[in-house]
Amino acid sequence: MDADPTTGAGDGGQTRDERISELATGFALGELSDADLREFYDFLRDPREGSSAASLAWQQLGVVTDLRAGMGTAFQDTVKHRLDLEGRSDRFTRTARSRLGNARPSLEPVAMPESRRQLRLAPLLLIAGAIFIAALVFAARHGRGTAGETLCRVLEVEGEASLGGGALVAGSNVDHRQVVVPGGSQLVLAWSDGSLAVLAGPANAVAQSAGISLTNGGAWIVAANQFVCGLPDDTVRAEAGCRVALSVVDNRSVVGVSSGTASLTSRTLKAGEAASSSIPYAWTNWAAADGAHAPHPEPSPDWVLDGTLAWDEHAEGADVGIADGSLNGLLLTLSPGTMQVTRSRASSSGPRTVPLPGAPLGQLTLRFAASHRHLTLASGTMLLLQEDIPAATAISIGPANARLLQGLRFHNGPAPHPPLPVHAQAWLAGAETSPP
Amino acid sequence: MSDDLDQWMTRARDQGDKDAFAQVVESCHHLIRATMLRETADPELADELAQEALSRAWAKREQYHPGTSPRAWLITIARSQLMEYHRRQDRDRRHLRELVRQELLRHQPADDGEQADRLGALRACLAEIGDEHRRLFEMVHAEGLSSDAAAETLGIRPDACRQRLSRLQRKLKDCAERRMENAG
Repeated sequence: MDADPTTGAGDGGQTRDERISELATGFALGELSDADLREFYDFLRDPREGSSAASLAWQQLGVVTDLRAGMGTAFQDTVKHRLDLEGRSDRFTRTARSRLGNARPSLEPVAMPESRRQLRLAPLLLIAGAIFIAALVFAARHGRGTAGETLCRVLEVEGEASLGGGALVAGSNVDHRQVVVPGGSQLVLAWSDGSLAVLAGPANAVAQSAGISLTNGGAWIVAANQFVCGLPDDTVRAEAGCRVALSVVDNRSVVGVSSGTASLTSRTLKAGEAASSSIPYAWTNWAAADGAHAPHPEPSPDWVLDGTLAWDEHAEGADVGIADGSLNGLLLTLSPGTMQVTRSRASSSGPRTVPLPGAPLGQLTLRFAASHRHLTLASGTMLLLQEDIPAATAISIGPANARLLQGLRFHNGPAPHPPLPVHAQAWLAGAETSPP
Repeated sequence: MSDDLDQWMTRARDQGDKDAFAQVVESCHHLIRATMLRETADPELADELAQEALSRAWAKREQYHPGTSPRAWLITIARSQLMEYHRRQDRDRRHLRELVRQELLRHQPADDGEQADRLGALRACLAEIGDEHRRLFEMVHAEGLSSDAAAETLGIRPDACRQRLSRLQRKLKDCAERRMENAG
């Protein structure tokens, strides 16, 4: 490297910080070679000085964006150019691509007058056009898609599961196509390094060479080596030996670590910790044989209370109180055939009464699953409340009829276990550490 | 400014007024790009997402609710573009650049919320640097030349050009921070 960068003269004493800044600048410009990228990555991964390297790098990235925003109008010109193109042929191309299930990202390079992008764009578009036409022909001849590199294989299937529309059975190879697990089914995938993923339906996922992308549903991971889980709103990097549970609903993920450590984008989770929308809390899981007070979990936006309600001839109703440690609380009063939902503080919505499924005096399986403003019952009924549902620091069962509520189980974060048994050795080997 | 933004966005929505939307773009693009940078650690990707978001915002302008914040609306669209990108970029996840990006995101800095002040300070500092240095910034950041092409124009070696850029950027950042401190 040059000692005097302003002249380009000989090699000399570039400090670590200068080198990191230079690499970050090259990264921001998209100009780093593989060797440079590797060097940059090594700086960032340094256990002691990675944070300071990242801090320096972020400063350079920020300045680059500020300079681009402050010095030119190329960005605005490009937006205008794209608006002018609105409704022209690229829309047709995207629609056709979408119909064929082609996963090519929509963020193509765009034309930018007198810029690096423009210089690169014309040949790229020609090549992309040729590739797309070839893909259309290929897709037309080969139907829904083609198998590719084997990334992992199926170890166990309970119920049914499919890959690119074809049924999966134990021993099937899994490639980059989408894995679909219907509700009530469960699939166990194994990677060559011993890593394991259990998918509980309804779930959709795509396998990676050392990881998995989960777009919907629940997954439980045993990472033999570093294992990366792509989620709609975050990325989870499970370190070797880590066991992690994932849940994705409506593009929101909830992550819980039962052993080892896993890194999210903004924080690292240790064993016994969970996070919803990057908010960390202690991952809690308890069970009570009959109606009882719950321990006091930390506030968490997502929680589930399961149980069975068995009426007897003397029973009039049962109360379940959910409090978050402040004045905010929710009282669920269960009566034969109905449930009344009351806020413990002034609410614009007032008490609400909803019907309960099944025969009024029949035994009822309860599942209260809270997620922000939604309270889901076992029947699939979803209540949308006016305020956030309490973060459940305490759950209390009305003493008079506590006996009516049996087999109560509570957990926040993702479910600690898959719903169906898993027989794989790699799962059983550390299963005793699994519950939080 | 917020009221102006809302009026421009409302006019764009109701009358299909591209000039009004251009005013919205002019006022918001830096915030959206800076927000996307924080969430991607990649200026190129951040700009592409921001462009995509603004294009989408124009296409879906009838969904804007007058009286609300166009900035918040645009950032929401940009974030949904980012989620879509994440869903689709699985094949690139192994790529070294993606690994670097993920590593940077592990150390994401806090949002200082001072984009507008920082940009003003940076512009003032840019006016103080020499013509040759400013020309280098213009070539790379305004005109979109690669640092190799800029090096050729300036008659220096490519690696020296990138080092110069890097050092000048650090100086600019320090200058802008000093200005902001003095102003504050």
